[in-house]
Amino acid sequence: MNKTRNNAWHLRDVILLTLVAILTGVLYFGVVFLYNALSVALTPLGLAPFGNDLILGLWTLAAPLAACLLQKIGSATIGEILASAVEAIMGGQWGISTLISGFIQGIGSELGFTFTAYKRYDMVSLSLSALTTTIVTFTWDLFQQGYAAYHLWMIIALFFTRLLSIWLFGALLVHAVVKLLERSHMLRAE
Amino acid sequence: MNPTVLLAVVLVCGIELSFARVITANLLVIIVGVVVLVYKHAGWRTYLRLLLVPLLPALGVWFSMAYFAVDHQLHYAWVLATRIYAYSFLGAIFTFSTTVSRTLASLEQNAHLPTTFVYGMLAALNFVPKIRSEVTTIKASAQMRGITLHFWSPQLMFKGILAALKWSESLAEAMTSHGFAENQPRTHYLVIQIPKWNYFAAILTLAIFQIFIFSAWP
Repeated sequence: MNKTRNNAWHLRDVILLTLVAILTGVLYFGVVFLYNALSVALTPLGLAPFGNDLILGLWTLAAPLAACLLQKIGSATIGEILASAVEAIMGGQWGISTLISGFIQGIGSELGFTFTAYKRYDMVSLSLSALTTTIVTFTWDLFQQGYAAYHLWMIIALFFTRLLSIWLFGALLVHAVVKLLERSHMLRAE
Repeated sequence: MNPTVLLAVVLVCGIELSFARVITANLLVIIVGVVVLVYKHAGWRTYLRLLLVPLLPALGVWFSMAYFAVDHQLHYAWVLATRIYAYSFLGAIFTFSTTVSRTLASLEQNAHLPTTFVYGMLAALNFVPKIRSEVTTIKASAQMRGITLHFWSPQLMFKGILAALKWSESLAEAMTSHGFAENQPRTHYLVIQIPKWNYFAAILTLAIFQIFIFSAWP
């Protein structure tokens, strides 16, 4: 990767990210039913937040994917905001509030790549990005989902559930996809 | 109301709701939402959906709070459960007041969002049915070779992205060849303005909302 990377956003990039966002939306639409089934099972036990955190990685997957596809500064944030806008438009459960959470998740994921100075797009920075996404979104949910009111053991368990989910989807799966793309030589060599 | 102004009001209310612990503020949003829906003549399916979809997450969070919160704070359990409903109605207020293309047009003209983003999104959004059928095709062709692709298979996503790469290239070229220039000034057939009363309405709404948020009400 040369140092004078082009950081401007072109029409093609915006269309690509929106298409990828729609794609993830279509691919993971079925997961909503899984989530609902999981919630039904966990609700009487009072453990429903675990269901939420277990699949959260799927909703935050657009950010690291966008970062790897475009390798620009801000691509994770903008990618996740575009994805949440698509989700809101396609009739996601939460409408406009997905924009807020999309922004939070995007910033969280972006930090992982900022810490590696936008130079690496491998397992290290993807894992780091998973960690920062978890920390940022978890801090937000301490207020928004009221996690702060739980007992300490539950907060810690939720944190690690979320980290596992975000790492599995946002790092392991994204890394596998990006490796396939690199082998196919379809990514633009800028 | 102008979509950009409405979006700003809704987003501010949404962020404030995330931190507030006031049931009455949540209820206020829900009531306003119902009033807007009635005014817009929403069908009974909309009410049913808005009632049922948030039910599961709301119950989930209520039970968790009741069981596992320090001191078993029932008040906070109700705050979180009604907050989930408030979020859904906040979304409904917005979606029933405007359309996607009008919102994007307003964001372009009023909020001066770069045209590349506005028209790029507009173009890509037309591809929703095409992407649906592409995913079905990818899955079916893998099945024919005796391979089942699950949602966690990298292959499924990889093949989808290949299609997206191809389409984004073609679509961008098509738009450029039809005279679209990135971030150049454009003229508009539909000019969207922000009437003065919109500002007053926005400030008034937010002011009333603050009374609820910062009051000592439950």
